Amino acid sequence: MEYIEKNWALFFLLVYCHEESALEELLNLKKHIARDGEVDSELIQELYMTCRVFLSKNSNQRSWTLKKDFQVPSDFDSGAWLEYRLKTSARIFLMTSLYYIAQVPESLLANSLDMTQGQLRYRLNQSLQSFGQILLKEIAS
Amino acid sequence: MWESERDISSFYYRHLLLDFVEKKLDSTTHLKMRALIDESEEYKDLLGSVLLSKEFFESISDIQYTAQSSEVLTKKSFYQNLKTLLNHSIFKMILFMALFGLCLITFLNFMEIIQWPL
Repeated sequence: MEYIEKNWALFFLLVYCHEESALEELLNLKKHIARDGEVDSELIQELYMTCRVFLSKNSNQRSWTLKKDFQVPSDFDSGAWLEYRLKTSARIFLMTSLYYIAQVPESLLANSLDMTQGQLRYRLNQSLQSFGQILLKEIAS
Repeated sequence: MWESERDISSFYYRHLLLDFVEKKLDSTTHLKMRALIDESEEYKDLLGSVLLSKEFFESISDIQYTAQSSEVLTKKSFYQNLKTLLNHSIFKMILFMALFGLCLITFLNFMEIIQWPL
């Protein structure tokens, strides 16, 4: 898979919700890419585990830590995202983020997470439905 | 046929919503899904949720990221590495031994016990 820096920067930002940690993780990834040249299933597995550890250590994080390197549009619904991050299981949350934000191809992601593409799509479908409910609730309130 | 199929497989169709939105279904299933969504409020809501989520993920690309940040971080990580090295116990021990050796040589030179390095 081709490495696109912006996708990975956004992925780390939205998973960590902490700019400095996100940029440090991005730097680690860049070092890996410079050494090995591509994003493969081994790397995805490694990233997945790193993110899971971060999420379990910061399970009560309820706010964003943003500095100046990312410019988030004013209409971006960060509240809904944080709620989704807290309420969803880490596995589904990371799976969804890897697919929709980092844009890891379906086959590579399914292979990395040791599941079939059908199982992956089933989970993504569930994930989008539950996130949509949170977004709807935010809009209504 | 379609009625009973719909009742039995409503669970199945519910999980095809993403494929429906992303137009990955074959034309017959797509049409069945379309009919189901038109008939059922529940399906309309679920479809709305999926569409809203997808719209959110599309809007993520509006977040601006400046590549400078990682350059700053590269410099910063050099200082962080240096700091980590200075904090490392083995490094501290080597530093202590070197300083101790220097003090010992200076003392022995001062006491004229040795004349080193000359």
